[in-house]
Amino acid sequence: MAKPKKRRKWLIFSAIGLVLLTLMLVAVFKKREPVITIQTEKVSRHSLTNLVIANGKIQPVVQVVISPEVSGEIVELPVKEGQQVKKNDLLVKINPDIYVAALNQSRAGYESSLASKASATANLEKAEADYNRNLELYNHKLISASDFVSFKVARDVATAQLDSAGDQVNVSKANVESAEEQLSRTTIVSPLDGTISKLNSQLGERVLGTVQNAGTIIMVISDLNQMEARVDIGEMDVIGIVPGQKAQLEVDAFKDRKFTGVVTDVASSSKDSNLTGSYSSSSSSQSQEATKFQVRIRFNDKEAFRPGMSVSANIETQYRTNVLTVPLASVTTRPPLPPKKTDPPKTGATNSAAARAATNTMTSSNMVTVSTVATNADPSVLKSKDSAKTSDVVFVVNGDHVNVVSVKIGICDDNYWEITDGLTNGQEIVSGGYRAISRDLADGKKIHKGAATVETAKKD
Amino acid sequence: MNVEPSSPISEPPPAAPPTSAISLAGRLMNVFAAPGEVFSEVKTATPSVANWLVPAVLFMVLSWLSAGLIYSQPAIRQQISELSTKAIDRQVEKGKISSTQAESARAAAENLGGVGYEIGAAVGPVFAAFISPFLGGLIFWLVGSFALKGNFPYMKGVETVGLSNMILALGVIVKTLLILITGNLFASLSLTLVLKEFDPQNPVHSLLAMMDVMIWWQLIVRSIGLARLSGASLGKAAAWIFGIWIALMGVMIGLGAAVRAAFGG
Repeated sequence: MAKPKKRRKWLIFSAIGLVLLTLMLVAVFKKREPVITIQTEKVSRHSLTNLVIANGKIQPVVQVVISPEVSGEIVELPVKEGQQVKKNDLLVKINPDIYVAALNQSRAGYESSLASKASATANLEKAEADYNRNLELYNHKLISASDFVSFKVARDVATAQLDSAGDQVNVSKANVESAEEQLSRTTIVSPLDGTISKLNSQLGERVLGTVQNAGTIIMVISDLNQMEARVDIGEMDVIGIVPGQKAQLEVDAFKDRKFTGVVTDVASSSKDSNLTGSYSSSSSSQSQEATKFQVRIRFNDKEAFRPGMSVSANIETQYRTNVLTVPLASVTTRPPLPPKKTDPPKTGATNSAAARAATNTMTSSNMVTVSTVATNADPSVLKSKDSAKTSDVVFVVNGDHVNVVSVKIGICDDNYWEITDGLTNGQEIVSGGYRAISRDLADGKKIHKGAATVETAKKD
Repeated sequence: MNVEPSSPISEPPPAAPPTSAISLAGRLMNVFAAPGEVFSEVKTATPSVANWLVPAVLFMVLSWLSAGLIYSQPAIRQQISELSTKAIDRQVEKGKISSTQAESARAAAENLGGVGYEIGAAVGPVFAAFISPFLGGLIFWLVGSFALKGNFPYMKGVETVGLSNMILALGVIVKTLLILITGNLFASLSLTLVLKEFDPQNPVHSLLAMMDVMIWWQLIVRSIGLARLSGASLGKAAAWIFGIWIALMGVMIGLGAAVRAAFGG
């Protein structure tokens, strides 16, 4: 009785021990690696529009700053801010008294110079007559040579005096013209049809005017019929912007309307550079901010815009129709794989992506330029100087693991990257989570699809 | 001749309860192979603290070792991290928290999630090891005394439940090995092995987890213990033990579902 009991006990203990031993051996020798949960999508075709977004202000296309060329007190100011004016309408009259006096003075000088010239003419005639008479006498040896020379010299002097008087008349005449011009500048008329968008001066104010410099800005006249958005674009995006591109504009003051426009001008130098196109020392020390270039966008629509209103522009820089795309989150960067010198190209699925991707060079207006990806198949492609750079990759789902595939990317919009090389339509790729794609995933890693798998494949 | 009256025959002193015939190690091992034998002896032997203390300490130590070993696996740490991320994502989907709050929560979970697990792994086994024999013993004694009309002291119930916890200790080893093999934190010797992905918040998955070989083995051993202590039949004892267990599990699963429904978990 005791023996069968004992045998049964030992059987049970042996069974327990065997099970534990088996589990232990499996646990020890089984390869373990973390399984990464991901979401997937399929490579699909979409049309993309690359947008560059920028903010700025609305300004008139034509805007004239009115400042005087002469100084004085404003005696007439028949316009006010916001008033519409036509070309040649009187804008400002500066006190002309001093300039009238100058004109009179110059005219008097001119008359005086004319009288001097007449006097010099008469003197020359007398000297000419004396010369001719004494020449006759000299020829008949009735006067000495020294006497004759004095008459000759007198004639020459009279001639020179006449020339001088003539030049003096010209100078006086020019003074008169200058005084007339100065006097005329005391009256300022509008150079264009427009609106007084800003009036800085008042009646009775003294204004400073010079010909070389701007002087006091009395007012600004703008043509409000043609307005443009002047936006600032960063240096990375501005290279993709050319005149003629369409833009969608949103004005803060007109939130319920969308406007359209066309790019008309792209600045050749940045806003930080000085007149010579170089950076001043003060601006370079301050320029910790991004370098900006001004782009002008002409509104297609007319609206009661006012200069200085805020505007946001979406400039359509590039278009692609029905191209292969992947979600934005799917593309990440990885260092290029080290080359293997002697291994032959592998045909297995795990290395097909690496064998396919030989050399990738990606360019875009807002992209990092990359160089090459080393492959098992073609190690000669790898350039040693590019080995430090990363390449754009996508993770392709292959059963229960992923393969890393180098891709060439084109433009992007808010949701998708264009894929120009490396993938085919319908391929299942990893689209989430963010940490998995940016950090955890690598070639051959085991994956497990999470709940949020969306299939958005479209047929060609 | 005087005959002194004879003194009454003195009764022999009451016999001391028999000491245990099986050693402690024998009792601990025989729980697996011959539990009836062990509990029959426990019923008649002197009370022994070691009967419940040693299994409790063993269970506690094994649980700590198991937690340390499991948490050292990158796959498991990843799974713990993903659990909290999924829970946060669920809250965002239901609109309970904003995306910004979700980001903060994810960052906090990443930093503190491991700490939470470690604290739970350190403290949990202590409670389970020492509360289980006393609480289980109380239920044992109540059922045995009032339902099955048995007559045994409370501490005998404690010893019986304590000894049956050796099955639990073995279960810890088996579960640890299964987790290491499958890389799944929820792996156990139950019907959940057929599931691709165990969802702790799914009541059906929780029900499948109840079909655990080790748990059922322990329940059977306890049934044998209750039957031996109370003198009732094994069937009756098993009905009570399994009935109470099913009721407790149902209450826990139902409570969990109610809490989730109330707080949107």
